Amino acid sequence: MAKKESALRCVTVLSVIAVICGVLLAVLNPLLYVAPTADDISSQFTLDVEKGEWTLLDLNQEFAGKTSDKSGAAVSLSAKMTAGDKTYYGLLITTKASGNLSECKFVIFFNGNDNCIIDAKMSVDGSSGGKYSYSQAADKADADKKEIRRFEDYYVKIQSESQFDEGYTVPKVGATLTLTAVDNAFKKAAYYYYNAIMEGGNA
Amino acid sequence: MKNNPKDLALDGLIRQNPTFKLVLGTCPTLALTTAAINGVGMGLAVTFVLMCSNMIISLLRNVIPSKVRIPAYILIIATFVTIVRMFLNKFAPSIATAMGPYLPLIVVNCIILGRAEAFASKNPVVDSILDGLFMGLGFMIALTLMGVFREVLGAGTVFGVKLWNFKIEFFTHASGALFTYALFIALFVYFYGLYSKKSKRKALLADKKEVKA
Repeated sequence: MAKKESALRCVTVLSVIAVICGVLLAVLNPLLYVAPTADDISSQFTLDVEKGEWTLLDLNQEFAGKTSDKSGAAVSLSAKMTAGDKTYYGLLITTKASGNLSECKFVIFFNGNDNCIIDAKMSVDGSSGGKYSYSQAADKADADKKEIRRFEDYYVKIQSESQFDEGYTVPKVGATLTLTAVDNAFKKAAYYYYNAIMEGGNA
Repeated sequence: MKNNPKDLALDGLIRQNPTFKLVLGTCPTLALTTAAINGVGMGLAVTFVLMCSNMIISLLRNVIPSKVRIPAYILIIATFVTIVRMFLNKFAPSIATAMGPYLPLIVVNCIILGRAEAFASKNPVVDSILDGLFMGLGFMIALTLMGVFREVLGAGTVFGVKLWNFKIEFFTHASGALFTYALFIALFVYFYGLYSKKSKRKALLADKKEVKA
């Protein structure tokens, strides 16, 4: 009986503490919440073109969510910039490689006028420092493919939602899992751009 | 149990300095001291969490059953770490980014759990807050000193201000962190030894005077 009472007391005390902590965080959340901005995307846009203001677009959750494979690639931000008669889109994609590489972030830019990928950068390198680290993988790759952080010559027209599903890969970097993470970022970007922006009527 | 504030201050800053004497919180010490500002940021974050968690744990010390004290402590500490994280994300995003995973990992920082278990759960509220304050300050001073040393030698800057072009990159790497830590512990032990001898001599002289009187 005493044991039961003691267990009940433990559960009650922990529950009360958890509720109080939850209430405290709920009260502070509106004061300290940081709304997402387009900075994560605009700071990566360095192409030499006429520039305007980047504005965040509402994410289409139907297409933005994580892929069911191990990479779990997902679109976390979408932004648009209009400069003169040109329109550019930027997608922030998070991806990882089968658990051996923690979360990485890619920003992939599209020219909204002709629906082409015009640039892509890895903004956050989540390499664990292990054998699948991006930098180590890049070092192993051929000299002309070392610059994994830059895809300046990248120019691919988006024609279908499954653009990169087969027969196409981004520059190889020397590690299968790393390549998968990069690959899935592009697949997700193409899928989202095609469905949410082109077909969604934003392009 | 009544504690003298001066003793609490000396314990936190020198006699039980968490970084150099107790060698606790080693991961953030090694990882974040590449820049002095990181040391200040981490130190302030830990100080805030230590003070708040010590205060709550001390207030609830007679209510929390000993069987569930560790989960209860972690729950309380995690709440304050979340608040610090939200605060830094809002007001100092660059420091929050520089701290990376070490900011949420404050939850399992040995200093905080250690002080909760060893001090706050057995002492009154005010003493516990003071203990948190001085332990946190001791940690912050240690991290800042190491950060200044590594930043000056490794990057030629201090708090981001450029001093010269001379750099020894070794100090920005993990091996440089270990070397710096070892050097500071060695210096601390040396000076602490001198301080202890001086204190003992003082006490001895006072005893002799008492006997004579």
